[in-house]
Amino acid sequence: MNEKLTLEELGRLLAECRQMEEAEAEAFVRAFLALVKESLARDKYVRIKGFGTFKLIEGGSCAAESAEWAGTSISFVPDVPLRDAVNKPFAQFEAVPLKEGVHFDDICECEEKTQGQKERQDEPEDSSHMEISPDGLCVEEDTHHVPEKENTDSRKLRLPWCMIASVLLAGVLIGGGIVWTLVSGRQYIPESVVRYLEESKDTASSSARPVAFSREEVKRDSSSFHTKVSDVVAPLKEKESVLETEHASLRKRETLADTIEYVTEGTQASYTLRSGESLARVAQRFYGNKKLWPYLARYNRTLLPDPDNIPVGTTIRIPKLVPKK
Amino acid sequence: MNSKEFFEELSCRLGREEKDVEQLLSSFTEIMTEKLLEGKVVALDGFGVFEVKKEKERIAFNPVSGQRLLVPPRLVLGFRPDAKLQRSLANE
Repeated sequence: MNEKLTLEELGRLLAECRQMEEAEAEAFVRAFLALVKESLARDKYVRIKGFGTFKLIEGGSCAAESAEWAGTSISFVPDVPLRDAVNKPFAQFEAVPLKEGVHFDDICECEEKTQGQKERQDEPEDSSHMEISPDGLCVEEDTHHVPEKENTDSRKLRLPWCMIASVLLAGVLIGGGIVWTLVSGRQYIPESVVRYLEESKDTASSSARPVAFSREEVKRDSSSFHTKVSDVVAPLKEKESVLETEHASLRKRETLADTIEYVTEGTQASYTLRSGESLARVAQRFYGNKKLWPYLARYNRTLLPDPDNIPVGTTIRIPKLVPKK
Repeated sequence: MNSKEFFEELSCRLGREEKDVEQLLSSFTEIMTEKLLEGKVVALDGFGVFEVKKEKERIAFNPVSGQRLLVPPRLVLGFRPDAKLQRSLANE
């Protein structure tokens, strides 16, 4: 692989290619090299079109590999056609921009030079890998320092942005949830808490007042309606029809009815439990709300020692419920 | 010294026409490229060594745009000057 090709061989090949004498070809190569040397010594810079650029680099600040010719070296940058010709086997590859978060463990990430440095060091950059130039080493070093700083800066900026966004999102979600539970009227929150909240709202913000008001009114309506209906209906003793109407009218307000405390006021009716019926079922039939069964249990506590286990055929008294003032 | 001056000087020394010299140099470059791609090293005595080396693929990060590029592997032509040449140039 690493066979060396000497000047003489090159001359011979050139002679073959151009159909000229070997000596002449060799003389050309020697003259070419000699002229490069001379002009380097004179101008420190030779550009040969189609071949490349030779530059004499006189270092000093950076430590040279050997003290013998301290800091002096030659850099060579091939011209674009030559560079591409050399890279021909790999010409099909192209640089690919990477998306965020794509990482390769086996490839080290090196930082590209910043714009300014790129302009300044445009030409040697391509071949910096091959140069022995001590200057090249210096450049590499300071390009590594500058972007690192910028990198940490951007990282510092990125973190708070994410945090702020997530905190805002969480706040909006929690606030939305609270408002929804308050406005939607479902009883996820104990009544005492809601009442407390409403009271504080009444005093604090006027905007929330209409909602609270209407809720209170609805409650009062429902309870008064309930008592009215039972007042009218009780003497008639038409249980079934009463039950139907009560049931229908109160079903809608079912959710509100259990939030009010009631006082039992005399017996409204009596009812014989059939098989499969529970106090909750009876409460549902008479009051339109199965959550009111504890009133039945309390009212009939002499009859029912265990409200969870009632024998079939037990006749219980249904109390009349009046909302507590 | 720029390219034009270089060719003028070279043709003057060789006693050939400038066009001829340019063609000679281009075929010289061609031969050199060909041999380099075969994996050979062009060692010019008293001048230096031309050598092709493979540069590994790497990820370049542009701190200005924040973009990361996967730079493919490539073959790079490098030049290592001869010690003699370096010394002679340093002494002048």
